[in-house]
Amino acid sequence: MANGIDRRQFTKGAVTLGAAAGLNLASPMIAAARQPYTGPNVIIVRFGGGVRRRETIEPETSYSPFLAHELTRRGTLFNNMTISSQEGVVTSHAQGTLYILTGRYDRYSDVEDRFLSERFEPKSPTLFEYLRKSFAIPDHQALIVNGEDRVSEDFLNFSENHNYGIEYRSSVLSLHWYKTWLLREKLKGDIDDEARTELAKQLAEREARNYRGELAGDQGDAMEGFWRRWRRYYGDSGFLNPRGDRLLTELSIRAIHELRPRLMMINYQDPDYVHWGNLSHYTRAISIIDNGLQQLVATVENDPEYRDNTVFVIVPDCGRDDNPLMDIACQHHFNSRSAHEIWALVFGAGIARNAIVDKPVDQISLAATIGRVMGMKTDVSEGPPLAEVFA
Amino acid sequence: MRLIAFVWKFLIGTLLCLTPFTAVLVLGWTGRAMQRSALRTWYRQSEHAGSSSFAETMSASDETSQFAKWPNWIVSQRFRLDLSSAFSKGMPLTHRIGRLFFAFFGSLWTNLTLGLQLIINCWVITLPACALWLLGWWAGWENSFSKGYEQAWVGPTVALIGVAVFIAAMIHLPLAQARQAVTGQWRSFYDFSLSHRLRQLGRFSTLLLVILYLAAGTLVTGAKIAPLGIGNFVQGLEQPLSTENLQLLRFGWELAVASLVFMLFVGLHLIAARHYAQRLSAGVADGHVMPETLRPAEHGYLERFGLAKPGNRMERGLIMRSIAWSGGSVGAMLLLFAVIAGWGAFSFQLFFGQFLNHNWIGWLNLALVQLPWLP
Repeated sequence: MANGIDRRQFTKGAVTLGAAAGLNLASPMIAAARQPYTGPNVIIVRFGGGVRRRETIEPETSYSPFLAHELTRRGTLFNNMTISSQEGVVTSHAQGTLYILTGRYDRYSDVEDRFLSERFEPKSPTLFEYLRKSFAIPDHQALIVNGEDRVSEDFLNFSENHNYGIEYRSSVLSLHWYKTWLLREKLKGDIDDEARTELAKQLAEREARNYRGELAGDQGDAMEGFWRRWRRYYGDSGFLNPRGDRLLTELSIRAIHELRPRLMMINYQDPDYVHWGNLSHYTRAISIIDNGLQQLVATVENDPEYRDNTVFVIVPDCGRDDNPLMDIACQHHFNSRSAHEIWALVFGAGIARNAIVDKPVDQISLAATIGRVMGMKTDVSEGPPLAEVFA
Repeated sequence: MRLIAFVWKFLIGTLLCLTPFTAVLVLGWTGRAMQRSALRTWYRQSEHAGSSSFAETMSASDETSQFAKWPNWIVSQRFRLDLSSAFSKGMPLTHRIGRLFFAFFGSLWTNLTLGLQLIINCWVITLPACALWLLGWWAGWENSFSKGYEQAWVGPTVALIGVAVFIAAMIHLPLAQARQAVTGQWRSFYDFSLSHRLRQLGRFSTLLLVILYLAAGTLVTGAKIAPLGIGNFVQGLEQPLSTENLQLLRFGWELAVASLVFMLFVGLHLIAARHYAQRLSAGVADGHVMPETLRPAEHGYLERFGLAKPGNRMERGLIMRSIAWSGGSVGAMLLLFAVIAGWGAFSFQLFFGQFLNHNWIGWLNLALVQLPWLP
């Protein structure tokens, strides 16, 4: 906040200035200067909303049979992965996502220190930035797929690291972005003043949720085309498309077909509904994600360019409590020991099959592991790569 | 001896607060204690206060001797008398057995029957709100989970209607419950006009009662959510607790919560009974309440204490002066608003507690209002 202007305001201003000067930071010319990417595609599945090992990877008690019985045979399961217990590390969703993406346990707080708000800015480069800085990959092939309950997670797509940042950002597929794009499209049309005022108001409200500057909302031609096709198929109402975590599966499958992502992170989230005390929301949401995994794997297997050339990394953002004194033992994830206990499954091209690693490993090691799979340096990340992954 | 009796009554009360079924007995026992509290209030306002103790005054009549001491849990309040009468000559065997049973279990029976009467009336006016909360919470989150945008308003609206119904019920309940306990007649619970008049006479003390409920509710909410921290701590221990030790911990915690609930429940109900007794005698004295409109038991007690004469205006103390102020329209509106806000905040405590430590039955029983049992 020195000199009356904080860093975030400065970044936003600079970015807007850049845009006004006609500088397209994601221009193909910059990408062309880098090497083309020839490695495997990577799909990171955040088995999110916080899940315990018991209901996911443990075969006897799992609500995710495809994961527990089928996928674990196809790859390397780390059943003793944890999130560090060091001070300041939080077992929650956006934090867990950033630990996975950056390979570091940086401390996060809301950009304006607003109470209970989680509008974070990645402090270290994300995997998307490492990838796009190393290879000529356009932003629509480095994708985050998000749900609609946590709009703030739509803005975790680039870090504030000076050597990386917005130039190497990922694109985001979510209903928030679709609705924002849709409002802009409608405003381009021939509508009366009253409707225009109302739509402009709605758009302003949506844009106000973007706490990271104008360019984070500029999604480029490929994404425009994606949303245009989505609109043609599902219309404007929002009542036709799949809902909840099924929506993420649909967005991801369409993205594979239409955008051909090289690195994609799918942020499932609905098991977290158990916060409100209904255990069946938790177990049903796990089953829905499991079903999503089946569809994603089938999509990859049916696509010649993805089959045998794709690595899946499935990992929860955090665990959940295992509280023996509460009716719903896993209702929350308040930094308890169990909330730190997670797992990871890596499978696909070049990954050791049918392996179970029960030695303690750390969530932040995934970034370096994915970096090694994709052949890129993740020099700011901290965790060592998981050597057992490589066959 | 009094200390032993206190500890005994407290321990039994605590244990009975461990299950909803036995908590009915606690409600009945509390009802009897409320009767005693009301009589004690009237005794203090009477001419007897200077000449004889409360216990002596009560013991002087068969009708009121049972109130000389705190109610018993199991044996009859007049155990020796009932026991000796069971052995009096010429009594048929069936009567003798009946007397014996009453001597040994008279209080238990009274606690049960009065408890059932009180809880049924309490449920009649509070369970609709509780059912709406349960339904609103279940349907609202079920709909949110399945992303039913089209009917997203239903769950929150149902829950908010529940809050409104609860506030209306709670404006009536404490005085009505005290009145039912004192008169022993379930119908008196539904005498809405008298309850309304008594509240008008004591708006300020009604607000004080709401504040006390809120303070006690904060403690109960704290007890409800504490397992979140305790359980996570226990789960994180290097050496996990054995199943036996875990059960012991759980029982110990439940016992601690039961003792807290018992104390707060009895305390709040005794204050409500005193509030009722003060407002009733003041109303009769000021001529706002006609003695002939009262139930026979109320009328009898007031007559016995010489408080059934209209116009027998008492000197205005702080409370009476505040009553006079609150009688003004602006003061009345402000106090009514504060009471409504207070009961709204009380219901919010339930939602907060349920969010942090959910239990479906928790929607259907408020430990300080219905049965003194925390699910």
